[in-house]
Amino acid sequence: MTGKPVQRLIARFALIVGGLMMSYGCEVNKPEAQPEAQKDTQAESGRKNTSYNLKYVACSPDKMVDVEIKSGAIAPVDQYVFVCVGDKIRWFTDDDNSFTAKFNETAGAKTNNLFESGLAVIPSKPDASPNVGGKSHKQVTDTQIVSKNAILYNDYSYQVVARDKNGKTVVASDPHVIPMGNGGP
Amino acid sequence: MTSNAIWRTAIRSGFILSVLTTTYSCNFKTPETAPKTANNLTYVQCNPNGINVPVTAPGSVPLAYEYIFVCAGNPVEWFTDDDFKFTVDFDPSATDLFESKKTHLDSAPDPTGKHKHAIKGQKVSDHAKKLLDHSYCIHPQGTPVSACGAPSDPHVIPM
Repeated sequence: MTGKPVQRLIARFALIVGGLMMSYGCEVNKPEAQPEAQKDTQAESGRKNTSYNLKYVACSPDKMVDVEIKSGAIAPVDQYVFVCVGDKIRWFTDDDNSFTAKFNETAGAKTNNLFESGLAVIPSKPDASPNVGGKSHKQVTDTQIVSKNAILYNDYSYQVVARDKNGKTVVASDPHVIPMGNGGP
Repeated sequence: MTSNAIWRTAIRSGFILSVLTTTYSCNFKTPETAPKTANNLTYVQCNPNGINVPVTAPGSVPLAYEYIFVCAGNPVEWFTDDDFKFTVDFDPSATDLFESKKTHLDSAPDPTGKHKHAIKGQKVSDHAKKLLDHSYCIHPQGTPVSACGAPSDPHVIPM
C-alpha cells in the first residue's frame, strides 16, 4: 500500500473512531438527571416548566413591567404581577379610554408604600413618548418604581377604572401586585 | 511504508482526531439553561394531581408556597415533617373555597406515615371565585394564637 490509499485508509479509520468517541463522550456529558427525591414533584404540573406555586415566578429587574389594559380589563395572565424592589412598572392601553389604577388603601394609611412615589391613585395620560418601533400607546401611566418599603409577599390589590370620553366609568377590574424581594423565591 | 507502520499511523491519527472531535462536539451539549420564568402567571398552572403545601416551624410555608394556585376539584394538603400539630384558618366568609365549606382546618397524624401531621381531604370547590385572593394563617399548636391578617400570611388563589 502506498500514497493515497494509505491516506484514505487513515482518514476512514479516524472518522469511524471519531464518530464512536463522539457518541460515547456526549452521552457521558449529558446533564445529570435530577434524583427523584430532589424533584419538586409536588409542585410540577403536567406541562414542562409550570407550577402551581411561585417556582417559575420571578421579577425581571432589567425591563419595564408593562401591564396592558384592554377594554378596561387586565388579561388573566397579568391579574397577579410579581415585582421586586426597584422594578419599574406602568400601565398602558391602546384603547381610546383613559383609566386610573387605584390601589386599596388601608384605613390607617393615606399613602401607598408599594411605590417610591407614595401614590395610591395613578391616572393615565396620553402617551407623549416618541413612537419608536410602534411602542407608543394611546394612554399610559407614569412609571412607578417599587419601593424598598413595600411589604414582601403582601397582596397589593388595586382597581382599574376606565372612563370614556365623557368621564363615565366603563369597566373596573380588580388585579394584584405582589412584591417578592430581590429575585423571587 | 510497511503495513505495521501504516497501522500505527492510522491508530495515532484516529486517536487524536477522536479526542478533538469529542471535545468540540460535546461543547455543543452544555447543561440546560435555567427554566423560563415570568413576573406574571405565564408559568403558573394548577396541578390536578394535588397541591401539597409544606408547613415549617413555627407555622409558616416556604417562600415559593406563599402563593399557591388551585383549580376546581384539586385536592389540597398541608403537611409537616416536624413534630407539631397545626391549624389552618381562612377568613370565615371563605366558605366557597373548599367543597367541605370549612374555613378552620385541624391537622392530624398522617395516616399514611409519610409525614408527621397533615391536613388532608380538602377539595377545591367548583364555586370558588376565580383569581380571588384567599389569605390564611397557620397556627402551630402550643404557640400563642396571633390574629390572622398579617402581611406574611400565605395565600390560595383559585384559577
